[in-house]
Amino acid sequence: MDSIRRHPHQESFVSGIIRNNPLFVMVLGTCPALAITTSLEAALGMGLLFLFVLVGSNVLISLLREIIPDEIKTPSYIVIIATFVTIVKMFCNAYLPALYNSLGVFLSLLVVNCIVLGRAEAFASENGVFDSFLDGLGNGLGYTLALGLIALLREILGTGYLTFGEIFAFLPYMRLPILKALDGSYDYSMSLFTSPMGGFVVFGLLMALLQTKNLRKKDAARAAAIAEAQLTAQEGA
Amino acid sequence: MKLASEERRRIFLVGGALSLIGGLSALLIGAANLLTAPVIAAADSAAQETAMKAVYGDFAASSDPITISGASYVSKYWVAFDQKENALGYIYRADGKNKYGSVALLVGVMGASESPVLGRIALISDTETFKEKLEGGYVDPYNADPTSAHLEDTTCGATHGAALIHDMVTEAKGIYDGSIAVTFADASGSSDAPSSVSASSSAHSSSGGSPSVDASAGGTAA
Repeated sequence: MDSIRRHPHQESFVSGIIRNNPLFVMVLGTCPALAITTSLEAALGMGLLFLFVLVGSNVLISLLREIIPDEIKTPSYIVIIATFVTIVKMFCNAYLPALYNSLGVFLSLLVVNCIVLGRAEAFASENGVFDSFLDGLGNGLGYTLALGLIALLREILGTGYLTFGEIFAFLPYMRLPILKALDGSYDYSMSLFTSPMGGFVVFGLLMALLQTKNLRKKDAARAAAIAEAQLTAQEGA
Repeated sequence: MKLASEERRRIFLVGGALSLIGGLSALLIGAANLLTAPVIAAADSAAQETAMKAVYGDFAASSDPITISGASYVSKYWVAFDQKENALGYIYRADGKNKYGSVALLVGVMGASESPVLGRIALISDTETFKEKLEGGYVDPYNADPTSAHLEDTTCGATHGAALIHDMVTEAKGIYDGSIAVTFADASGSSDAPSSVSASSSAHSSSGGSPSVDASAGGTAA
């Protein structure tokens, strides 16, 4: 596929979504991932707020990277991240109070989230503004998708329903019965999945699934390389 | 000791960078605060009015809040009025926490100060771990019949949370009947009863007289 030319900035964006997914591959930011994924709406809300903090802090850090002296790198990054977290908290409290209440302390804890600090240190401090923006967007989307996937499974398995409109008040309230009937005629839900233990189980299973896929891909690539080397050797002989 | 010029330059650079970052942060947060503060204040006030209506069904207006200091949980109170401006009772704001979370509530107390009558509880926030059990097993039965018997029975599957609410309500009742000594101050800093409340409706008047808040005025209204 050498003929397909990659956009020079594409790598910054795509990498964080699947290949270097901050949650499933880098195993970063697991505390909120286990704590707030009992509801799909709360998880997606957290993901979007996280995305804003990551993009904002990445862009500002990249803009200021030339003037931040080495001695005060980390404190400066924390001040910048805390600024965006404070802004996000204010807007969330004003316009999405149900989400603000459901996320509780985990919203404030974004200040010390290792993904945000990690991207600032590893990427934004060494790259241009546009690349940093795309890196924040990619990693933020990757984290949001990962949170959403865990929450989707936990909410369905744990409550038997999929509920909308409870946290995002602008959506019409809707409760979809999946494993549990609205009239109670059947109930296959397992409340274990709404507990932290259930969070660990779902997170572990999804990680295992993703790792298996990655390993298979690597095995296939290795087998192809060996086959090609053998073919070259035969041709040489 | 004189600093080398290189060192001095470095100090100015670090100071300048920190000032710039601090200034930028202050600017961004200030702008966000300008945009969101009125919305948050309006939402808080609407939530408070809804909670007051949950305490007294006939609630229409309240006095200015009176700050209370020296109590463990209760921080202020209002006098609640119905549409005809009759005093319904007092509403106390209490905040408490234990190892399972925190609870903020409004509780109504009415009647004569020697024999106060408890009103309903309206939860403003509840982060207790066993929130459902606490609300379903303790707060709801109490609100259906706000008597001391229901208040004392804290066995609901969330005993620590129920005991916390019990203590908060008991403290409000104690402040109302004067058995718990606290200091009052209105918004202007005066330690007198609020000017908007008639002397006869103040359970906290210095004379210690009974408030003329009728126990049946709205405490049991839906």
